[in-house]
Amino acid sequence: MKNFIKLSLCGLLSFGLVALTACTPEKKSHEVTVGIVAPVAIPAMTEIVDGFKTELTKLYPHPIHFIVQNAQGDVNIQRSILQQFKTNNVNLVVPIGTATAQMANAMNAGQPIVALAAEFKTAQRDKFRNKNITNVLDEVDIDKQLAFIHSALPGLKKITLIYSPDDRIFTQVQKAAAAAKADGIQLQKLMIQNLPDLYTVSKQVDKDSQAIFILKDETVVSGINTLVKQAQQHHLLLIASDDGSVQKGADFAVGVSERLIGEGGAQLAAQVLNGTAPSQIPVKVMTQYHVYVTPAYEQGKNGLAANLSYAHVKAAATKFNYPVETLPLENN
Amino acid sequence: MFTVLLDALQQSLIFIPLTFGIYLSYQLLQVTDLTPDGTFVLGAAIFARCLTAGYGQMLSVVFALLGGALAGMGVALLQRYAKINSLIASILAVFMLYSINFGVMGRPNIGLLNYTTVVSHLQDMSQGMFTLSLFGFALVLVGALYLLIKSRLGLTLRAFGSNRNLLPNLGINSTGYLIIGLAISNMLAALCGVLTAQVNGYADIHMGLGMALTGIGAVVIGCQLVRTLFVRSEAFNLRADLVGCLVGTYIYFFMLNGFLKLGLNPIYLKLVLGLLLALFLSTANYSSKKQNTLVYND
Repeated sequence: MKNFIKLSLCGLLSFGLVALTACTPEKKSHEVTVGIVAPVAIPAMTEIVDGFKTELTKLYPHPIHFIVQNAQGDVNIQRSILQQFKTNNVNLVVPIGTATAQMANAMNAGQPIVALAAEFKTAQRDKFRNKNITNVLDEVDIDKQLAFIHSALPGLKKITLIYSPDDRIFTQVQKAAAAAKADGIQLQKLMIQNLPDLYTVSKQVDKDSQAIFILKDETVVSGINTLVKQAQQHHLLLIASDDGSVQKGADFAVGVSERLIGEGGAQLAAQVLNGTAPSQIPVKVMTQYHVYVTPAYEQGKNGLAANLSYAHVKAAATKFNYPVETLPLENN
Repeated sequence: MFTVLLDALQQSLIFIPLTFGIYLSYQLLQVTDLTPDGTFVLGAAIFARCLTAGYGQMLSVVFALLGGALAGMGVALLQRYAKINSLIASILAVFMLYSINFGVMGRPNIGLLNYTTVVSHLQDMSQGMFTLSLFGFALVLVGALYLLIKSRLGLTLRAFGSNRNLLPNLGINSTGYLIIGLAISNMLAALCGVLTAQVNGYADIHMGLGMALTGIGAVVIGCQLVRTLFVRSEAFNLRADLVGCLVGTYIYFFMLNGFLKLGLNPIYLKLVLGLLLALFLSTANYSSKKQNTLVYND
């Protein structure tokens, strides 16, 4: 009986603690609450969130209370976070990534949503049952990416694409195969199911392949160090699609800045907070590509063939009007 | 406070078919089956694929349930005819189901935001209505499971779980009952996948990760707590077990939501959840031991 009482007290205490914190302070007039949910904790997400918060604070004249939550890759946690945003009546929900945006849209019919890095085009978005969403589409146009690589490195005849079965990656891989064929580049496709597969798969790169190419693929990017080692050992060029991968050792990347995705989202969010319905705001497509390089690649210290050197990349970037940025390696 | 309770209730009601599925395999058949990690996705995948291909909702649900049942039957056959240990067989099944799920969907994610389903319609109406409907659905499920386990079939399934040699000694083919048990169990996991896909607005190849373990945790904790605190007996008690499944699932989601509300960093969420559940269990165990001692003293 005593233990039962103890248990009941434990339960009551937990309830009490929750109740205590559930009492949210009264909002000041004009103050808005923005709930941001990221599916996983990776540097790219941090960059997007930072860009979003900084830009929105500049654009919106009233105080903003940001709630940033990370689901740590757990669907149940993600649903709980979104559910709490709903019950707490946050003024704006900001999910990052396509699956998170899908869940937010399905669950939060009444709340406005500005999704970041979500793969919905305007026509597609307009068909949704709940029209409360607009988004930043950051899909790198694989045709443009390969056109740049082909122009920069005409000596590149065979390339190995390593990817995971993420939805948007899967679509991009199909496009990449067609684009590579059109450019006369042989494409070796290697898929990993999860991160531990990466080491094994990286050993399967064909001997005549000159470069490893990765997309903006969370799973593969998480294990980029494995590919950096592999590329160094076999004197292969490692081409990525995001700045974070270059900071981890990829030779160069052509892609969209994560920070700019956040800033683009903030511009949409400011419009929503000022009263425009999300459905009236067209999807923002990121079109400004950047080229990111490592200092080692820039200085030719990678032992790569002359026809794969930085000079070619730099010349192509000038031709395509893509800004070039040298990024220092992260200490990892 | 009320919102945390309601959020947890809603989420646990969506999850309950999977918990019942796990209860059937883990408690009743005494088989450790992790296949729900795969059949949960299979249910969602078949439902999403069929719905987007133009089959009606009902037919899509039926196909999804059949898919789950077939997968469960496959695992049972693996265990019996390939003589593979139940845990290993289920791990192999999850492994194979990954490819099957991919094949079914044709891509890693199918969005359902363009489609109005019964669940999404209720969800859009009002939260109260949605929760009430889920509650009604859970009650129907409890009733169906109660009748099933109380039936002759249920009794034989229990016999299979309690003593592996009993059915063969009575001249009954035990393999058939293992197949039926795992088929129902995985069908319930697929049903949970169907519900989740509608609530979340998509089916995704990665959505099943860790589901079976969460379900096993809910069953073990819920049943243990209810038996220790209210039944005070280790003997089989169906009503207590079914309530235990509901309680276990609710405790999991209540803690999840409560800690998030308290502002706990999700990195530490599973550690704190695990520690607290261990505390609950050990308190319940000590309480049970003390009661038994008192009985002997009397």
